[in-house]
Amino acid sequence: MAEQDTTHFGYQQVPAAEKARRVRAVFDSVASRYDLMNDLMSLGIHRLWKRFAVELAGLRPGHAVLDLASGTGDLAARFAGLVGPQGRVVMSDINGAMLEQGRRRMADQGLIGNIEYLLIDAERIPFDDHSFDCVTIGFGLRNVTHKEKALQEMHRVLKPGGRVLVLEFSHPGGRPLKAAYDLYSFQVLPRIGRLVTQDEASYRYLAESIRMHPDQETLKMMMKTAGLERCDYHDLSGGIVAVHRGFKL
Amino acid sequence: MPTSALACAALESALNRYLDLDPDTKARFADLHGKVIGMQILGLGLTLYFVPAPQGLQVLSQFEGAPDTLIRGAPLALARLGRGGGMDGLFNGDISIDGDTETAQRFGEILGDLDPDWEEHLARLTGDVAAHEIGNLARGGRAWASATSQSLEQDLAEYLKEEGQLLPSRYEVEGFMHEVDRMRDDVERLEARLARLTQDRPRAKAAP
Ligand SMILES: C[S@@+](CC[C@H](N)C(=O)[O-])C[C@H]1O[C@@H](n2cnc3c(N)ncnc32)[C@H](O)[C@@H]1O
Repeated sequence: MAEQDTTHFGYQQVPAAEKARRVRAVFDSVASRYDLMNDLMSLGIHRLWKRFAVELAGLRPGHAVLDLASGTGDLAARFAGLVGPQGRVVMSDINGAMLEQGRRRMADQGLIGNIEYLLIDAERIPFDDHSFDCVTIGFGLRNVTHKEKALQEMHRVLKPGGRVLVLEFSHPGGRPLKAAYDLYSFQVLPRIGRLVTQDEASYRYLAESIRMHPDQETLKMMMKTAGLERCDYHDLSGGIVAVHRGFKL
Repeated sequence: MPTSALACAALESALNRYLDLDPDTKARFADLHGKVIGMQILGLGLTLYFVPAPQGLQVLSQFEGAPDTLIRGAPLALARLGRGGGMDGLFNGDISIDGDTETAQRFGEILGDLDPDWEEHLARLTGDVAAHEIGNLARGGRAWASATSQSLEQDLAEYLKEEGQLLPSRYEVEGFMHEVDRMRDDVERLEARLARLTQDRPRAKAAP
């Protein structure tokens, strides 16, 4: 950096005029929450939720992980990076078309060596006891008919010391702020409404299935009942989504 | 969600956008698949973990277990690493390495060869913790937005299409707006604080 008047922007040396510009830029870019929301939406809040779950999975190179209800494999793709070439990722779904789409996507991304693809019903996992360091299900448990059975199966195939992660829509606590509510109802709702009315029935099903899903404490109890220990959960985005975690000790 | 997680996400997507434009560098990172590189930013109590893989880099804010190598340095020294300084810092003591030195050096070299624009992203991460995080998030997000689509409607449409089974519920949107509101309040407080700071110190002061 050239010799000139500098000041600090955090810990970083920047020319004084530049600092004013940067500070301005920071606030210009967040001044309107509408913009911020736009940004977050486009970054994909669901990706942020998944990232968070991935960090809680505690995976390391060499680990074996089973991802249930993988869909097109957002979680599995990250896992394949984390377990390294010596690790093993089983990407699975009950739906063959979903799985095939996921397989193509992985191949496009150059991820092949350490991923297997299997049709698996979470209620009947075709693996021996103690096979995996981690078993995950992202936005899938909601769709499983016998959730208790699935949780037992997830526990069974875990190695001692391994963990189960459940990422799922949940039940937010607290009431929304009035301002947020207004913005929601006047700005967001009509837009979403316009987009989703194309398929209102499935939207309604989805909203209902989320509301029907057990709340945080109930799911935690169900995990304990399935044999998992040290169960806990993290609310994300105020509890819209929660990540539950339980260990086999 | 902790803001540092958001900043990590923004940094990760920025880095991967550069890598997508530069397949050679991407391939060199892929050779490090199976390694975990920690980068401890001194003075901030912040450690980031870089996990290279064929599809790009993951940047984590937490990692259980020991990384293969841990690169430590002050923000400026680490920024030089990304600016093409390679591992020079190692020889003048600005940067220290624990663990697998070869991996650290390869990682540092590849980072140094990346488009220098990315240095700005790292710099943001090392700026005033709150300011940078919010700024980084917003700007990273904005760049992403213009790269993919322009309007909220388009974003939503894409989002709904891609995640057909993850349509946002009323819950989701409400809670989300709540979070955005909180963040805006934080930003306003921060703005007031920064405005005071800029008044107090119009020019030339050394970093603490
Ligand atoms: C919303 S998608 C989640 C996809 C992905 N995990 C994600 O987070 O993006 C739900 C998936 O659950 C699958 N599914 C439904 N019931 C299942 C079951 N009993 N066992 C395994 N997968 C199931 C569906 O086929 C669908 O792909």
